[in-house]
Amino acid sequence: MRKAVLFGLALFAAPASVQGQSSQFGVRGLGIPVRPLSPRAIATGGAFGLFDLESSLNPAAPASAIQFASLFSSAQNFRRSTNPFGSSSGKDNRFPQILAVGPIGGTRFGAAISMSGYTDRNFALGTVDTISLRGVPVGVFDTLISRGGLSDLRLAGGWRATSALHLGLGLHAITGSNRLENRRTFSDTAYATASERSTLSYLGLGISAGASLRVAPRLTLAGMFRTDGHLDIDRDTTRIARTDLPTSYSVGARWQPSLKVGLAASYGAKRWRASDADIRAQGGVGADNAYEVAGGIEILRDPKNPGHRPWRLGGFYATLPFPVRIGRQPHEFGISAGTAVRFTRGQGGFDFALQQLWRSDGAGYTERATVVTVGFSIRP
Amino acid sequence: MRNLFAGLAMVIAVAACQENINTPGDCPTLCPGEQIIVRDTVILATPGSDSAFFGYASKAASSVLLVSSGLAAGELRSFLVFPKQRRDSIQVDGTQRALIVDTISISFSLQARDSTAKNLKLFLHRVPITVDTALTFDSLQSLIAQAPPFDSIAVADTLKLGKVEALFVGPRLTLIDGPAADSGRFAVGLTVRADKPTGIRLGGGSGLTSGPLFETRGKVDVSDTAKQRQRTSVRPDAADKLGYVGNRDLAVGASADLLYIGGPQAGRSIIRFAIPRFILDSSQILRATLELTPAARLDGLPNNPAGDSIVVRGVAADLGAKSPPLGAAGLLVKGGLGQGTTNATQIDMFSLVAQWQATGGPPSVVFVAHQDEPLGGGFMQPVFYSTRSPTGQPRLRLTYGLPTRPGRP
Repeated sequence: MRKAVLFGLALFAAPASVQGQSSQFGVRGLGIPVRPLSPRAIATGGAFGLFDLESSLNPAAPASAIQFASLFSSAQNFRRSTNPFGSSSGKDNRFPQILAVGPIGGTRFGAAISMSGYTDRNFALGTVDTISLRGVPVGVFDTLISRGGLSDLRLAGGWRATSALHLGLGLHAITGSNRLENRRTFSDTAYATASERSTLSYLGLGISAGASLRVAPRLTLAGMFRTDGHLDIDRDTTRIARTDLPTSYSVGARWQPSLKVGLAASYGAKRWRASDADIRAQGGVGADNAYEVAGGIEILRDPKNPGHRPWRLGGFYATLPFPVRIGRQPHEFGISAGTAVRFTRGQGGFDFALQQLWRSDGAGYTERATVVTVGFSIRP
Repeated sequence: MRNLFAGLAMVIAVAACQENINTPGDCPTLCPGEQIIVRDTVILATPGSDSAFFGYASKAASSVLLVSSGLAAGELRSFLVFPKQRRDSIQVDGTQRALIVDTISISFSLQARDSTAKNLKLFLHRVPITVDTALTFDSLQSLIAQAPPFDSIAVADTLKLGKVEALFVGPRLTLIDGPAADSGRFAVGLTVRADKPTGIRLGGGSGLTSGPLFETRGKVDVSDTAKQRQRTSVRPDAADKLGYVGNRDLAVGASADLLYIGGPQAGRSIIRFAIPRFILDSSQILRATLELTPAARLDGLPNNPAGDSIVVRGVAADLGAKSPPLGAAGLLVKGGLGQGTTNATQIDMFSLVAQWQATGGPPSVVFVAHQDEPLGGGFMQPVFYSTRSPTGQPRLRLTYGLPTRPGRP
């Protein structure tokens, strides 16, 4: 537990860039939502997220911890975005999940502390125009760069009520910042580059409750409910807005037809409509409720060493809460695969996930992304 | 372990990828904020607050010699007096030995010329050693007219900068001989001529290595052949014993309604601007240009790569004619003066106006001067319209950006 506390303290010193991936669908609203999943859960489309000890979705999951584990994951995103104004390719690297979890010795409790992405608002928009200066047409190139987003710092405690029923409670601090740089450069170098910078910082609190119940020897159900209160937004040091955050819930089922094979499916919904009025009042396009369905399979090669070289496959479909244009709610579809290796008698390991994502708002804004997620875990 | 290394390599490879988060967009359709607003404005100098002052440099401080012939900028003549020099002996190895003079050289450093003027010649006139900086143009011209040139230096058409020299050898050595009363001192008046009206700038200043050089060369009777050839030289050593005078001084009878810079009396003009508070406080200056409209054609030395220029300095405090200029080199801005035109002179003021924006920054006042004022002036004596003129008042053209504070959701 001491290690867990130390790791927890280290989380506070972790870089603020605990976000998901840049996207043109992260330009509006609070950004593109990030799923608080481990590489294992990502590889199964997110379907195993409610049952996964190393994901930050279900606060009941730490109840099943039998040893201390820590996880650090890194995601490399390769993206091609297309919209009516052109196409561009991009790539970025993020750290979507840092987590420590372990049992509380001599009790039926387990605890986890984690830092996950909540929304990501990394993007750079470039536009070209011509304006008249001193009576002469001058080409201008405008760039709006945004870096940052919201992170979810979670402290979760799980209780093994019975061997079949696990319950959990999570406390969430939603923090982060959004560093914005607006630049205008001119084709005539006699003009200096115009630029402005500002930083938006965020703070919100949330609470979550979760449960998992083995209803049959091979069938487990899980669920989670979360409410996030509201988000205070400061520009530089001045409070400029408050935005209500959504309540959300997820339910899932895991079926293990054999020791080697596990199947899971999940459904989650997030009532982002709660943010709609506030976002509109701040000049945004608005927010829509979002949902997600996922299904996945995990095939173990060695049930005695389940983390070593399994096969994981999955897919998901989700709607995105923040439209780029009014009335055009974007959606996302993804397929994924992954595996893992364990070494030094399972004390260390890497988990890999490869995702192919398609996003679209159905009216010209499309995006294709390939995301490679690598997680490094230690179980001392 | 192999897996460990493979995994670590992959982690490093993933983390090492360069970031590119660009997406195409069309603001404000897609942008969570507006583009920076860019505005243009023209600010006229504060009416009645601009004026010209003279006398910022003494003639003795001049470090150049200007000579011209037929230029619209005016006629210029130079003079110099070489000090006494012992030519009959020289010290070799601690012993004074007789010097058998066989060559005398009078040389100058050419610093600027009209590169299109062909067959340029610099004429050397013998003038009395009494000449000094109190001399007027007419009196020097009279002295020169009374003394035909004793020699001339043909300047190669290809020579733009460098040494030009008159050599006196053999019987021509007698050209250097002067009256005994001169005690070996030697005074020269300079005129110039070419295929067209022209002028030159020569290095001047007393004691400066770029100044005129009088050199005596000869032989001494010593056994060491390496020491048999000897030379001795002098340069003008008194600040008032070299300089130039011209027949055009716009400071004489200057109009109070015009702005003067440069000239024999080192004119400067002060110009004040009242810039709206919101521009100074809230905007980002993108371009600032001072525009001065000449009241008369700008005549200087044509086709001169190192042509006349204007310098603009901010002031630390507005004390009128005695306002202390800002010291930092970066706060001195320059602009070329268009030879032979009446087009407005434009000077980039970006760095100065940025200073005016600083909290507790200097006043929005500028001092305008000729760039060559520290050297003793240039060929051109620009005159500009002032705020009292019906047209062409001094103006500051500002282009600035206003923040839009992006970040809406």
